[in-house]
Amino acid sequence: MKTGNINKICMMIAMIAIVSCKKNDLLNLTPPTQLSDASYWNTPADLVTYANNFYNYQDVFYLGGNIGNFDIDDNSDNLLPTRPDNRLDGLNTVVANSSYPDWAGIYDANYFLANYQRVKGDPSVINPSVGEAYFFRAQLYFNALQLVGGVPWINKPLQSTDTALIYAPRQPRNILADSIVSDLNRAIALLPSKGGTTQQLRYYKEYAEAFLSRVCLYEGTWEKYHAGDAFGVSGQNGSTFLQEAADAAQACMNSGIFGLDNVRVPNGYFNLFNLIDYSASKEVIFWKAYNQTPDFINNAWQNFYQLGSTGSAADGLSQSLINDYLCIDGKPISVSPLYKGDDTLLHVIANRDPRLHQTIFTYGDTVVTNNPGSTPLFLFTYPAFNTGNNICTTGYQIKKGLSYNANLNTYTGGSGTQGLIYMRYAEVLLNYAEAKAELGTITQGDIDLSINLLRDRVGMPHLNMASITTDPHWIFPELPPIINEVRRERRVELSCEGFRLNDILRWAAAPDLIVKKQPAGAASKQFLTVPLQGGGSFVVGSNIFLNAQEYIIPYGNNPNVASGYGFNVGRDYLLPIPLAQTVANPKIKQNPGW
Amino acid sequence: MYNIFTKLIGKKTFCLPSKLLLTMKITLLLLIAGFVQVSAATNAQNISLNVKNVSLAEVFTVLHDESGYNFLYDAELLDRTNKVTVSVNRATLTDVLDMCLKNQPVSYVITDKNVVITKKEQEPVNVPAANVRVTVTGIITNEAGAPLAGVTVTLKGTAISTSTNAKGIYNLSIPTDEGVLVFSSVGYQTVGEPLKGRAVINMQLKIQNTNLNDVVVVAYGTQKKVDLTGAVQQISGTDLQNRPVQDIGSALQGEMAGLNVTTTGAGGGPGASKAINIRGFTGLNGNLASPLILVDGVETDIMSVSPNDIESVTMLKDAASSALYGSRAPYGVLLIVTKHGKKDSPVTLTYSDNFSAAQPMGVPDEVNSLVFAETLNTGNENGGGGQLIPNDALARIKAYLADPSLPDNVPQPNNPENWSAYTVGFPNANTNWFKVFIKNWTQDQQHNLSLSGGSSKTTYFVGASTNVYNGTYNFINDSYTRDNLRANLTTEVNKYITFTMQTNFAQQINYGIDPYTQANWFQTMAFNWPINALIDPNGGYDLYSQAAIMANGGINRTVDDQYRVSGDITIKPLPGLTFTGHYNYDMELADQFIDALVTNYSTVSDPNTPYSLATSSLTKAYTKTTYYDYNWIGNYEHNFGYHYFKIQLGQETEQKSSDGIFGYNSALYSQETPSLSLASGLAWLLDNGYSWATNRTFGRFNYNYKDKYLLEANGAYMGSSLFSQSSRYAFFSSMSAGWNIAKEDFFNPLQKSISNLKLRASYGVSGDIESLLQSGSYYPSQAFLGTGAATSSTWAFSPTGARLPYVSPPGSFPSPTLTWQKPYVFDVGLDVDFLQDFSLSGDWYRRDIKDQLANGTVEYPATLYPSAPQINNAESVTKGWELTASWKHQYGDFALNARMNLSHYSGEVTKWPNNPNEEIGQPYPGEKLGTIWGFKTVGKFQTQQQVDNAPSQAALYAGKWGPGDIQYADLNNDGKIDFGNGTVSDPGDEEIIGNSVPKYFYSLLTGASWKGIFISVFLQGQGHADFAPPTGEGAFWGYTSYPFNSTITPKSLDYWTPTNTNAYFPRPVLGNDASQLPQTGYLLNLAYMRIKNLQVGYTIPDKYTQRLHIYGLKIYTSCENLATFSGVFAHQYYDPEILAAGTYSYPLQRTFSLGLNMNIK
Repeated sequence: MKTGNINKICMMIAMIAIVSCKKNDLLNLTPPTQLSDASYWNTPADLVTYANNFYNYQDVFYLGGNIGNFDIDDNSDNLLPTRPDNRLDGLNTVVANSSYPDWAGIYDANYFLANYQRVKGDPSVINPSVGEAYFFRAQLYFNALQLVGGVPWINKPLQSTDTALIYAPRQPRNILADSIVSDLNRAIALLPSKGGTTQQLRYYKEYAEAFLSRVCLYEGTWEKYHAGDAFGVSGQNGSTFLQEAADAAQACMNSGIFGLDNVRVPNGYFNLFNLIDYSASKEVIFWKAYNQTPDFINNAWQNFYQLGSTGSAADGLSQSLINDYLCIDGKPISVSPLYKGDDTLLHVIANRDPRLHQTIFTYGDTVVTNNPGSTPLFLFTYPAFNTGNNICTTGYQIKKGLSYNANLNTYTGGSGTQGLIYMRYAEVLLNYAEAKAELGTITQGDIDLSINLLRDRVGMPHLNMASITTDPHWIFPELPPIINEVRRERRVELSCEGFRLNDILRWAAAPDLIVKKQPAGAASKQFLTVPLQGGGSFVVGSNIFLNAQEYIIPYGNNPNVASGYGFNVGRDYLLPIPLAQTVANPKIKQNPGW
Repeated sequence: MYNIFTKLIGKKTFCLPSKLLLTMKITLLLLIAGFVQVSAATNAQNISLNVKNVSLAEVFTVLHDESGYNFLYDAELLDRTNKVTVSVNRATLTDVLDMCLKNQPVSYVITDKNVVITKKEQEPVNVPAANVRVTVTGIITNEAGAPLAGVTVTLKGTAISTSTNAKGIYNLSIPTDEGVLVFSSVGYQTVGEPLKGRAVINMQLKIQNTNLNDVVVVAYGTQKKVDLTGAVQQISGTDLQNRPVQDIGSALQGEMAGLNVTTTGAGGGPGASKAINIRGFTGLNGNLASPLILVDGVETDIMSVSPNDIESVTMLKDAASSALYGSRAPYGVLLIVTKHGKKDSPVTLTYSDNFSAAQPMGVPDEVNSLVFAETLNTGNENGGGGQLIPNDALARIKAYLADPSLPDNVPQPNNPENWSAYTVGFPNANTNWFKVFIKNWTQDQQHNLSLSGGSSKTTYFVGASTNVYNGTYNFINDSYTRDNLRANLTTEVNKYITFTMQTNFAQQINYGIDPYTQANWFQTMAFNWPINALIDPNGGYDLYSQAAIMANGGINRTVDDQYRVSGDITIKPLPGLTFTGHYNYDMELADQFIDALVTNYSTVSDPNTPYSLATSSLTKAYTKTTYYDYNWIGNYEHNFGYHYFKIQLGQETEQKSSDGIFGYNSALYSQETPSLSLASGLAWLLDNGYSWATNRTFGRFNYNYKDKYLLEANGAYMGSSLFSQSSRYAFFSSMSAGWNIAKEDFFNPLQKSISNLKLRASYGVSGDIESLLQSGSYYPSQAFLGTGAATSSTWAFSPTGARLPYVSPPGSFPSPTLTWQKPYVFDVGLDVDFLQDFSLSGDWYRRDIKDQLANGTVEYPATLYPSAPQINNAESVTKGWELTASWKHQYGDFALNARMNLSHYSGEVTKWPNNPNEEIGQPYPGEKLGTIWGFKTVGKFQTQQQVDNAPSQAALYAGKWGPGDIQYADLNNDGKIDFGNGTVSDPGDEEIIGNSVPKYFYSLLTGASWKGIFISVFLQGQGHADFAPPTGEGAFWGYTSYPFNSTITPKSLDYWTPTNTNAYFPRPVLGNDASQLPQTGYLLNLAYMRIKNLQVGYTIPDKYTQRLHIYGLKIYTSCENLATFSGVFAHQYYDPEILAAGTYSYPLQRTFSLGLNMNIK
């Protein structure tokens, strides 16, 4: 080839080379109307905005026929819904797929924790958001722990290349609990104290402490009472967690920022549960405000039983729960001379722990069904025995949580605005007492700092460790009297607030409370002649079923409960892992019995 | 104005001041520039002469008339001259004189406005002396007599050569007067003419029938067809003309083998674009992605281009041909070149129009109200639902049929304020809703005007067109309008530099139906019961007629303006070396207006009750999309000996950006003035936008030896903004080679019959980002955070209810390894030209698409949240072949031509790891794309006993099966009919019953012409393709569910009854469509042949029109979709072409049109 050709080619290459310098800047394009991850994490305020989303994962109760958290106990021996709970009856099956554990929420927290360090700035703004992320993650993992036990511990947002974590095996439950505790401890270190943020309804340090006591008590008692069974943790008796529970509760108690509300105020216990705004409460640790702008109509959870109108109740308290309330002499009904029997609702509440009457309706109780002022007050005449699903199943109709203001306990127009309590100080006191009792280190001083404060509020006599009245009907006769009494106090104080099922499970108490039990409601005679709202009247064996003692048994005609609940103690303490998850990852071993 | 010149022949001289002439030219130019119709004055540059055996004197008379020049001669001189036969168009005076006076003993001299004829000096012919250089001269014309510029004239066996000038004249100085002169030009047959001592050799070149030397447009350049090694097919813009179609897409259907043009879900509606694809499947989901469509090198929405502006359309089919476009053209390229003016050609104004009348095809018929009601009752009774339409309604229906003056509706029994409806009460009208809502005929028109021409340095083309297409709906005049204005200008600044400037403006207006019924109006019609009234007895539109909504419920109008300006500079610094720079800027403004208005309907007391369910609203959207690209390309080519090589290197950068805003408000204050500001609802405003860019450096190397052995290598190094920096750039390459066997010496004996025989092969890979761009995925490698407004937060951060906005993590994660899909294309082809008139081109190809993006439908553990990202883990293969055969022949005045295209493709999934159980319905390895699974039909149960004895079909429908239902075959002999596990290994009683991919596509274009009369027929169709009517689809099965899917056509009535046991359809059963599952008994064959276009026309000879300065006046009639032949019609009112897109689609139209074309000079 002639040099002329080569020169020409060189010239051409040079010219192209000049115009073809790499244009990477040109190719670095970000979307104009989407929030690119690459350009987001700049200021501490960005962290706060991101963390705002954690709160959207909190349990919410919407319009549509429920009564917020007051009917969660439908899954326990406290409340009996119209159809027996499948889990108690051993009827659960392995579901194909499900959203638990809530990996979406865990991813949300992990994504924050993987990225927040890109933001530089004032630690006093950054730290609370980071603390919120840890707390939020702990909360979600704790939900998973309660539902299915140990799950893989995923602590970063996963890429499809993170095979080891995607296909990770389940963590032993105590290790998972340790991780939850660790997250909560980090949250405690990072979160501001109550009142330390401008927005009231955010996580704060003492809430994390209180929550830590809940988590540790749960895991501690679980390990203790499931020791040796298929659900236990080999070599663990739970004492470490129990100590942590006691310590966390104590830290909360020592902070001095909490106390009990309405102490020695008439009806004070009842009035604790029907406020719009809990910001002035010393007792309510964390709550959700439903007092939101009117254009957002899906904000009402209160659909309280509307008596006398179409009625809507879908459960009722069990006799078992009622029986746990002491008489006002501090003695159980089995021995107290003040006990008047169960013939009528008025007898039931007579001489009993005032919390009983503040939890169930009896004759003459005030109820409001319409706007105050426009129509007269309505008095309770008898439970909502209307037809269909909306029935008070037991005769003991729940009153706890009701507001006398009709606007707050109906969802008409979506305007219900009553606050929803997630955690209150009474639980911390009970956690403290129980942890100490389980550790065997409880003292009268501990009781005075906890249970007796609760009793003081309603004017009940103190629990005196030295002179506990023997109750021949103690539910856990094999356990020390103090544990029986602590558990009684917990059941009474926290009744119908959604704690009972998890208490039964962690105490491994199904044999005592559930298995082969035919749950009962109130004594039937008082109701057999009332006119039913749907027309007609009760006919025993047709629309009402009774046990040998002639107490209502709501599931009397349900073949599945004919010989009592079918709860399988070798299986039902944990839910099954959804099939999709065990299939997709063979290292995920199914829970015992499933 | 020329009339002022006296006719003077040989008498006086007459002088015309040359300044005046100049002024006249300028005036003329101004006239042209002002778009005034040019008065076609003849000038010295523009003479047409068509004479046979006439004397020179007569010729001069004509020439005087034509040119205005005076002819001065001695009459005696002409005595010794021969008679002249000349046919020339638009030549200059000197050219014409040269032709007339060749071999004549006279010569001429032009002075001012006079032509002086003189006696010719003795010519130095027959001087056989050595070393005496002789000059050979002559004029080269085409068959029409027009001079041909650029014809190469070579003394055979030497390097002595020249080429003709703009007037077609050459002068070649040679050392001998013996030997052979070879005349060659692209597109013309090369001829050799022995000198035999002549000094003047004029030639008429014939058009090269086999087009061997055609120049074909290829990526960033052109190439001689003979040198092509890739799979390329080109058609001329004239093939697409005279068609009463909306867009180029429709015109291209069937024009080229392997180009698949199909109807989309928009059917044949006004403004509906076609789906365009090259060579079939582009992915394992059955995708048929569009090729890259470039107009003058710039990606363009094909809808925006006027078919009349098109010079040529080239399809690049294989990887080797499209390689330079890198990842922009994974599945072929359509290169559309618009018209440019020709050098040294006079101003020509071309006008064409087309007026057409269109009628919708395949509109179903409906049974009358009584038959409908009775059939409905039968179906409901068969389903156990009893009599649906009660006797009193039946009585009213019968009475109304007998006497249409009776009321067609009655008040509802329990709600006498409202008229009865299909939901309650039952009206008794007899309405054929297709007839109510569909016009029998619509009218469309096209007008095109263009101006073109050129000097020796500058050429120009200006084209303007307007097209109006009206929809077929009644009550609203849905329409599509497109206006185009294009100007292309090229000028040679000097011998080194050429500039080209092109601008284009296109406006498209889609005017359509109101927003809340626009979804699928055809389906709405089909679902409306015949017993429903259009107009209630009190004169108002019935609530369920939808007519009021159609007429007054608002409109949806989009105005889409596209502006383009592009400039090119070509520099030729040294021989063989060329640089071209190109810059292009496009802007598209789309403006959408949708209003929903409150309309009236009839209640018993008020025929004009406002329709309260519809709140009026207004949506306005503005989107601006810009696109620019610039590229530099260097070319160097060189011959040494028999070796030829060409190197091309280029660099291109492009970016497209879009920005749109979208506003909405409801509750208009006034229906008459829809404005976002004049509405009282909750207004919202959103914006949306994207941007992507690519940057690539590319090169091509061509080598050939004696035009026998051809080699081409391509490479493109390409970066895209779609991918992250680490995987952004990739190199794509391809190779192709060709062997012109016919040029081998050993082939000489055959060369008389086979003039060309070429074997080609190519293999290469490109990268696919087009599938991402076409799916709107502009940032597949980036993570986006979600956002939530305070109002969407469920949490209150203060007791008084203050909610806060929030940010959430990405809803999906990009894979860090995400990269291009890579189609590898192997192509082998054969081109043959034989027996002068025939040519044949065939290709076989195999396209392996590797690294396909697959959604992570594989069951990842839930711990991987949000979801498994798309990764490159799937593969499929598409194989096919194409054959194009063409023939043309001239028998005297009679010319015939034919072209046939035939193609086939099929696809198969080769790798898909996400369906390990091989579930049917998801891809699985080995699955042929288009596979239809279904049951085998045994027949219809005739008796209950047959039902009871047959294998149980309870798994398909748990209720009662009865006579008239379909019996399915128990293929796995397990005593029951079911779906098994729904997997390939356990499909129950299903089997593969067919495939929806047509076996082949074909078209046949034939034409004939005789003395200006021409006729052409264009047949287009497809071979066997299976279609299983969807279960529950009323359009096929008739009445299947209540109240929808209840189209009962006369053909639906052929259903099983105890007395019609041989019926086609099973008995109608409400609530059980288990007899309608995909099955062998109801598999339609979508094979069809359509007379896509038929044209008959006549080109009026110029001699009748040229006095009006009109040339090439052609009038024609053209019919689109004249007739369709298909077996599908036997069973239902289906259009086989539209069916694959949807059963209720806007109908295609049969269009009859009348048009004319003419040139004005």
